[in-house]
Amino acid sequence: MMNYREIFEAALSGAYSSASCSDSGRLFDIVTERAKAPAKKSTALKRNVIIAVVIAAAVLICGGFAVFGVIFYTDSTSDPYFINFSAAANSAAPVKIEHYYSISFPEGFYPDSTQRMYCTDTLYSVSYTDGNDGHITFAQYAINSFSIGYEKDTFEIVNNFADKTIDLHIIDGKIMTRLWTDGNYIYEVTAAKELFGLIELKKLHEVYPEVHDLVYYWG
Amino acid sequence: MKKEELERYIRLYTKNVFGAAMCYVRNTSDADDIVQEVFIKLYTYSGSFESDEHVRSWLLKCAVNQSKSLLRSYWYRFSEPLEKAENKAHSDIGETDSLLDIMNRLDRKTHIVLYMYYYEGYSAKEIAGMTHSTENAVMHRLSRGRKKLKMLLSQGGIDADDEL
Repeated sequence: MMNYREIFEAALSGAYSSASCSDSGRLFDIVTERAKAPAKKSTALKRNVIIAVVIAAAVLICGGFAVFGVIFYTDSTSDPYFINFSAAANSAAPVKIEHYYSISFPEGFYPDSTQRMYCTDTLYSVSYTDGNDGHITFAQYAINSFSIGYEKDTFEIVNNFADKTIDLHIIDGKIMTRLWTDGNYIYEVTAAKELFGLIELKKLHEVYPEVHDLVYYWG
Repeated sequence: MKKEELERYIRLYTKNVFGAAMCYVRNTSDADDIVQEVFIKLYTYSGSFESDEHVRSWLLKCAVNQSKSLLRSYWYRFSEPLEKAENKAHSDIGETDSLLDIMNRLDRKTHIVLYMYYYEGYSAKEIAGMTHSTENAVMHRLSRGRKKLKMLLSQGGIDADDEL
């Protein structure tokens, strides 16, 4: 017979051991690193900053100075593991572009989810969509924000894959995005979250060496 | 706060903060986030603490506030946590998963009150202060929650010692 404290302890232990915060050294690194960044802004402020940056990016694009591009586009079909990331990364080889560039895949080839990353020298974001039943979430807002005026295909994706989540963080003057979603591809989501939960992308290599090829920069 | 102090408090109290967050958010990803945010707040907090116990209660109160804030957020209300994915790619919780599920059947306010009382060892008055509630409300939730938890545990084939 267990007392209530033991019951709470047992219930908590399993979840805690699987949580990344159970690694106190790593948590310490993350906390001290993130604490260097400016204080987290409110959602309303974030939204305003996003809109402002998007408008600025749109102006740049219209003016022929675009540094905006799709970095990768990935999703999965039958095998929901890292291999899909690698495959997608290989498929979506980065190309330095001067205007918005969409990487296409055969229709129906990646029906369940999509990931995209957009980048300028001051902004990048990622959207993750999953093809399950359609909650319209913050991701749509974010995608729409990033797609004002020049990204109609993103709207199509939104319509086709309505179930998605996204969380935006502004760190050190840049917009960092962490994302996760429900759906079939936990590992993808976790990897993505780990990636964007850390400030230095190189840490991804340590944690998830299988997927580091996903990330490309230019601009 | 000095880094050495932060490191020590992370070692001491991460699990407590995580547990409080789990009462509200019920998935490890969000609880992880809350733990980070809470310790960032601690690290950047300019005030002073009287004792380790003071730090612990400050952290737990902070975790409660942070969790409530997340639950109110637009993002959270219109999205599903990872753990609710229909086809999990992996399962990493194991045998205690069912026990966690049982706890998660409690409503959040009751869950946090039971957690604070039985796991953290706080009194009803202290819990009321942390959860922005009244002592009477906490007592009521404790009484009702204890019965509910006992019933849920019983349904799950677990006998609880009700002496506490």
